Amino acid sequence: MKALAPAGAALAVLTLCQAAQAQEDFRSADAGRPIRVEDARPLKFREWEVEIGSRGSFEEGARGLESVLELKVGVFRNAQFGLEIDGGLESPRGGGGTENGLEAASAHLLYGLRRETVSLPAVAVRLQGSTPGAGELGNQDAQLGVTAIATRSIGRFRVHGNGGYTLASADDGGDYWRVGLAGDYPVGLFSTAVLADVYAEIPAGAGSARTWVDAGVRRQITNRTVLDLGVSTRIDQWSDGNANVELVIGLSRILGLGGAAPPYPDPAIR
Amino acid sequence: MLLALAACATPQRHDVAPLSAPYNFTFYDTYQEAARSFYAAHYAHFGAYELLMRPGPDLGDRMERFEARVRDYVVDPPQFEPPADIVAPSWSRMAFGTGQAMHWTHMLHAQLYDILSDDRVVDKRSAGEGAIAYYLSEPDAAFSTRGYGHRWMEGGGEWVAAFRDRFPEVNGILWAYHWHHAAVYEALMEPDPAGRRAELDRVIRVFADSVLADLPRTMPLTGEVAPRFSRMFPAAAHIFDNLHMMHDIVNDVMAQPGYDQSDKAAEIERMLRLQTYEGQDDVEAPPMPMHDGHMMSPGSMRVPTRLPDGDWLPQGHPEARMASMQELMQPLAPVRSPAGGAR
Repeated sequence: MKALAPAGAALAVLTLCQAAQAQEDFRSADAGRPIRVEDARPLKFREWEVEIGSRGSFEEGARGLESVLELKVGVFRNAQFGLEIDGGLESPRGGGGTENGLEAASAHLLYGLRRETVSLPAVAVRLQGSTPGAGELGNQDAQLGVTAIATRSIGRFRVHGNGGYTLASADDGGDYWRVGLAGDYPVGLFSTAVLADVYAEIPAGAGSARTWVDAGVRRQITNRTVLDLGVSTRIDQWSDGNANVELVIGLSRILGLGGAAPPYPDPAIR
Repeated sequence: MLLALAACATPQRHDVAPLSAPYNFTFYDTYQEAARSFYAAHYAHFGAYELLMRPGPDLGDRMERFEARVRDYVVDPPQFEPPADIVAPSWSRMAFGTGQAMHWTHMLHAQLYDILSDDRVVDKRSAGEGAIAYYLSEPDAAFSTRGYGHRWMEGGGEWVAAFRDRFPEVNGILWAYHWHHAAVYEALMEPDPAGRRAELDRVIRVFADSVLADLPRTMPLTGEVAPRFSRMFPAAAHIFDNLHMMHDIVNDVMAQPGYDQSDKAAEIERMLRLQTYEGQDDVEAPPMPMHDGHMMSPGSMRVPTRLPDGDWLPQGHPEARMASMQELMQPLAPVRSPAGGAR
């Protein structure tokens, strides 16, 4: 149940706030919702968004549930700031009882360096830091990462490339590179997008890469809310004959938490 | 520092969220059929731009198929507003600023529908002026509040009528939607919910049975179709007329023979800059040409008129002053004199 607590808190927030307008939100490729790679478009200035989601993992003899609560805001033009809490529980293979914990609390700043033009892609940079967690599943130490993000459209199809580096302590597995490639496509005028990616974390020191393939859909279910559904698998573990699969579900909701109208300027009519 | 330097040197989106307000989406939530009836218009406008990105010998056939799809969406519209960058991905990158200005103005359209639909909003005028003030706080993305009538689309460049002469049916559908936008405002001016719903039903019926069947031959002005709405919000009436005029201008520029993509992008940007709120007091609008092909709606000879109480009637309003042909054939002078004082 601990893993579901962030979702409950988010639902309370969802019901309290005035909505802004965001009928195009189904097209946002947000990290983890449902694929790991994200696009190079920050939230609009003064736009607020809350995301909740869960990721259930199914391995041979093992189960896990990870949940996330994220609050994001367009803090200034072309820049998005977000706070995120990740936690979960896990029943490891071979028994031994359920482990749980708060994996980390993190913050990020996503800045859009340039928009997409006729000849060049959109480019953004993301800076992210996280605290140590708590419990058996918590990170031992703080982590710091930077990611370069590019988005290029080919007709209605969009391609996203992510590449970054995370500083992590030896207790948390050490520093690692992150690289991912994704695509998304809107289905007709149905306010639905299909997305897929390949994403890898490559240890900077010794160790083998962790590689995921993700696919899913994002669908606008109201003017304010997007549902995401996905499936994910870690393909580097398939060699053990243990195809672990994750199912992803989440909701994103645009909020309006303020923003006052300036005085009416009595503009020229003639 | 590096980020700041990069940001200065490159184009950015500068997206801004709409004004947050309790009335947002009330129109959609209360009168969903009416709200969704606009979505075919969004598809029609931006879909035509995207088609015109690839002119060629088969353009006429593609436009015919496109018109059939538009008419399908009139009958069975999408559930939510289709974003322009999905309908017109190439055009949206080429004419980014104009797409943003149109999107920003569609947001104002939506908020004024919401305000008029929401019975919790008692002082509609004050709430509407708040939404307009927020809209105008982005002056480079907001359309002008001045009454240009049809001046820019009829006298703005050599491309005038390039689209409407070649594709009159699709152009007529777009003008029909300009009527529809304004007619829905007027329906929402009814004081009680039952009256609003009855008027909206009537407007949707007339739109489908009459307006789309016998397409307008001129671009209707908001003041002509929605006199009560445009008397309450004369600035909004002009903003929407200027948006609609810009929609037409983009079509004509995109259809102009001999223009390559960079010509089209530059001309669209030039026309946008002439019609935005930013710097509008210094702009001189062109004279209304009176050649045979000009397209003036019947009420457009009525020019913005100040009332004794200080309020304004916008261009096209049935009670506004009727101008002479001579007056309309003169350029529309800037609000500010060249020396900087108000005229």
